Amino acid sequence: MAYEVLALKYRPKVFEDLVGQEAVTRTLTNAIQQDRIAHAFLFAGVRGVGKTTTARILAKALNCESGPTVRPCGTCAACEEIARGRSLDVLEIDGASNAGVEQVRELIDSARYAPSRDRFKIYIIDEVHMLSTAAFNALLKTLEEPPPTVKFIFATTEHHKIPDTILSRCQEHEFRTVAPGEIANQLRMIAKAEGIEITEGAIRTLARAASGSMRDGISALDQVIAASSEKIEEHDVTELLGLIERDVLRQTANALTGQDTASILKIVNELVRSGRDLRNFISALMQYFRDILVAKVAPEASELFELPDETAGLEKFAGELSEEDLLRALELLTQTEIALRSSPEPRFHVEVALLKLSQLRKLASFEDLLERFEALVAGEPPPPSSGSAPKPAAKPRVVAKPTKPKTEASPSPEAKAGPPPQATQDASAPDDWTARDDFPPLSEAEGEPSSDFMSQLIEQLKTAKPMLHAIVSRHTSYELDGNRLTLKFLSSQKVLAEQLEQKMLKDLLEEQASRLADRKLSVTVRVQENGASKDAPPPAPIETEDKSSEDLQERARRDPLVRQFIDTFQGEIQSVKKPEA
Amino acid sequence: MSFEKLVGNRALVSRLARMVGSGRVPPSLLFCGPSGVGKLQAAMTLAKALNCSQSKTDPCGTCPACLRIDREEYADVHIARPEGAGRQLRADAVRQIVRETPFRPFEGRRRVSILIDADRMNDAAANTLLKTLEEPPPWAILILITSNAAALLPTILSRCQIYRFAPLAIEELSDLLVSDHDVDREQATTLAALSGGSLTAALSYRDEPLTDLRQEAVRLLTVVARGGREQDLVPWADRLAKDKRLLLLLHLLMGMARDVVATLAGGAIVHRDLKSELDELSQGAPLDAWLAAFELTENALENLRDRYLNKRLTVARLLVEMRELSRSRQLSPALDRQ
Ligand SMILES: Nc1ncnc2c1ncn2[C@@H]1O[C@H](COP(=O)(O)OP(=O)(O)OP(=O)(O)O)[C@@H](O)[C@H]1O
Ligand SMILES: [Mg+2]
Ligand SMILES: [Zn+2]
Ligand SMILES: [Zn+2]
Repeated sequence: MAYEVLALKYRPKVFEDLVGQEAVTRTLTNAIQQDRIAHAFLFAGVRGVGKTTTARILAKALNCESGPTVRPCGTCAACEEIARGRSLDVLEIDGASNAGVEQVRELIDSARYAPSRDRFKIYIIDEVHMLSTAAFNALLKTLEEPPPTVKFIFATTEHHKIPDTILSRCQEHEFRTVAPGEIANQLRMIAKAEGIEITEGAIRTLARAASGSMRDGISALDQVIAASSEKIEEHDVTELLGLIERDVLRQTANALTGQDTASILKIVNELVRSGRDLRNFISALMQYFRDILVAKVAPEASELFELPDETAGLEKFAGELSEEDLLRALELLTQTEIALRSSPEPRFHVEVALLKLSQLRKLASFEDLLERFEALVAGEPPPPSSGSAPKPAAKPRVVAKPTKPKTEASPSPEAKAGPPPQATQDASAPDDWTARDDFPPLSEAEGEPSSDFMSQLIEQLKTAKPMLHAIVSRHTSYELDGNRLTLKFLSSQKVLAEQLEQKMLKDLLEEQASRLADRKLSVTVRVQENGASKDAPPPAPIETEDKSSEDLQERARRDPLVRQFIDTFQGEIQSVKKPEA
Repeated sequence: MSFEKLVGNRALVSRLARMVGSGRVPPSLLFCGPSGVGKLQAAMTLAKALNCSQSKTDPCGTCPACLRIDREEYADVHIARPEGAGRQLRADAVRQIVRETPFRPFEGRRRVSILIDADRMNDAAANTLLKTLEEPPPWAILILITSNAAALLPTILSRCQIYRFAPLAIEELSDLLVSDHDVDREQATTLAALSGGSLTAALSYRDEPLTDLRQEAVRLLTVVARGGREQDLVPWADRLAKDKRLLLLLHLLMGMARDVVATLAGGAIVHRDLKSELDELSQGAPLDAWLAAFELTENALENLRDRYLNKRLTVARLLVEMRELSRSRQLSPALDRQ
């Protein structure tokens, strides 16, 4: 009548059949062989990695007629009954449905009686994290002085919810996530046993999508088998699991860089039509751009990517896109990911965001705008927009009355250690976007003798790793404490700073910093929640006309757009005018 | 209603039909995808197919079993939906399912439990489902429905076969509105364009008079695209702010701005019957400007919907800013004028 799902059909029945939990099975089998069996076990780990399965195998191992044995026979009355959940001496309890203290008391009461037939009375409490505090306390008593014939096996996905008092009385076993290769082997075995034809690519995709859970992998295999009538191909798997194929990401990046707007819309349409989740798509695309970024700044890191097809194409984009392009793309995608949650029309939102991204390189860069603005103020004809193409080096640059003096107070570190001082400070800024003066000034180290460590590091990065230089030089302050270098960034630089969390970039930075310090340093990145942005109340509705102008100014100042404008142009709010009503 | 009659998601639906046909229906299913695309319909059809007294493969829809399932009076088909102010799927309701599942069906072949908005269970309720989802008795089928699968526990997802529903296509939706919901063709086209592929969304606007609103939206876009004068725009905004269909109007504006964007970008539009008007609008300003116009309307819509900003000012600001876009496609000419 009903069909048995593959995950249950292929549930291991002996320790040897468990995949990827060697450490656990070794300890358990050794204990059984040496007859040093604990009174209580806790099995912890993510979904579908073998906790419940192992609990049942262990129960059989302990109560098998020919036991305790590392190889329960599976055929004796005890083994049979355990397998069918009918054993009087092995009680499997669902912690989630029996979470109350009453139920646990009842259970403990029964623990006082000797086993009815078999060696031990074994209580398997699954999903044990759901027990109430009172229930745990009730349990504790019995755990402290367990009757010699009683064993407890607890299983949970949420180790952190188990009280320490319980933990300290259990032998803990941590179940690992299962490696993709091991999942693939198991899936291959099952497909073969079921007489299913499936390609290697399909198996690998399933294994990777399972992200460490054997059950996830087997459930997904079950589903593709149910859906396909012929040989299962990789394409069937991606379609069915709603995965975003690497190829789609490549096509998207292609369309974006080539400003192929029609293709962009086609791709989104196809994703929606096939039921893909657009949020997944955007985060996958972000990951793709991060990969491009890594390929750009650290081409030697290509071993980092698991499969050759993951690197294919990355170099091409790494060549076409500037670091600035990539950072902007990441920033825009981050915003998109957030905005998608509340967008009234997620599909349209994604379309527009991607089209905008495709136009970004065409748009004048911020720097260009600034220059043209300055030129206008100076009464010159605006230079033509140049997109993000490289600009001629020493372009005269006029500073439009900044509200605070910038350069003379403290010369930037670059100027200190870098090329000979320039004739006039305004006349020629180096053609390096990090030298722009709208970034927060580099601050002094906090109470650290080598106060110029960061400036040295930044100088070193400038030639060695320009990309890191671009990011690191935007930090606001740092601490060098023993072997730990902490870099702090304003929350407005969050997207940028987060790039340093990528292992590749962080490793590079640590390597550079360690070289300079001549000892092993580890880098921590901290993004400061500048109180204003975090705790600020949502923008107050602008309603009545009778607010004083002070108040209006204050509110204008809080507006993120206005703030950005002030920051960029070092401006001040002179007056606030409301649109006449 | 038979599988044939379900609208949209053809491949997925025929997969379900095939599973019923071959008697291989997995015991734990998760239907996910945007709201209003037929997930519940599909679940009900499945429940009927498994219990119909006329057919074992495709429900007849007319036998007593089918009829009573539809009326939610059938003993073996149980539907739990969120209730109360918090719109929670109550733990009691979930526990009841867990308690009843071990019993054989009373009158039908399969005991089917459908949990609507399964993401709206609290942790305790969700955890009580785990055992039942993993090892149900052979007669039980559990169908979890959600538009937010990411909010479910990984332990739940791991135990289910997951069926991903896509939004309905514009034609599918407008045909459905005409055939099953007594909507005339023009209104259906408008509703479909507004719906984001969700029947529920489309029906929620069903009784609104939309023709004049749509014309107003087109007129508005035309005027701002031509750089209308502030003296005209502000009173206009005042009037719109008083209309109780304001959000709908903004929604229309947003969809049309998107359609102009799509026109300029070489893609398909959703307001198909307005093609010539949209074409004309697309001549007025470049892609950049229309992208920005879309963002402005979306922003205004979200501000009014979620943040309750002042209507008059929000709308006035929107119109003026859109007008600004068409005037100053580039920063430099705008500055030149000063
Ligand atoms: N290590 C493993 N080796 C082989 N199969 C496994 C393994 N882990 C899980 N499986 C497969 O997944 C199914 C579920 O495993 P099990 O019930 O042991 O998971 P669990 O760790 O208890 O998960 P959960 O926390 O979700 O309850 C098994 O029936 C089996 O098919
Ligand atoms: Mg388990
Ligand atoms: Zn045995
Ligand atoms: Zn029937």
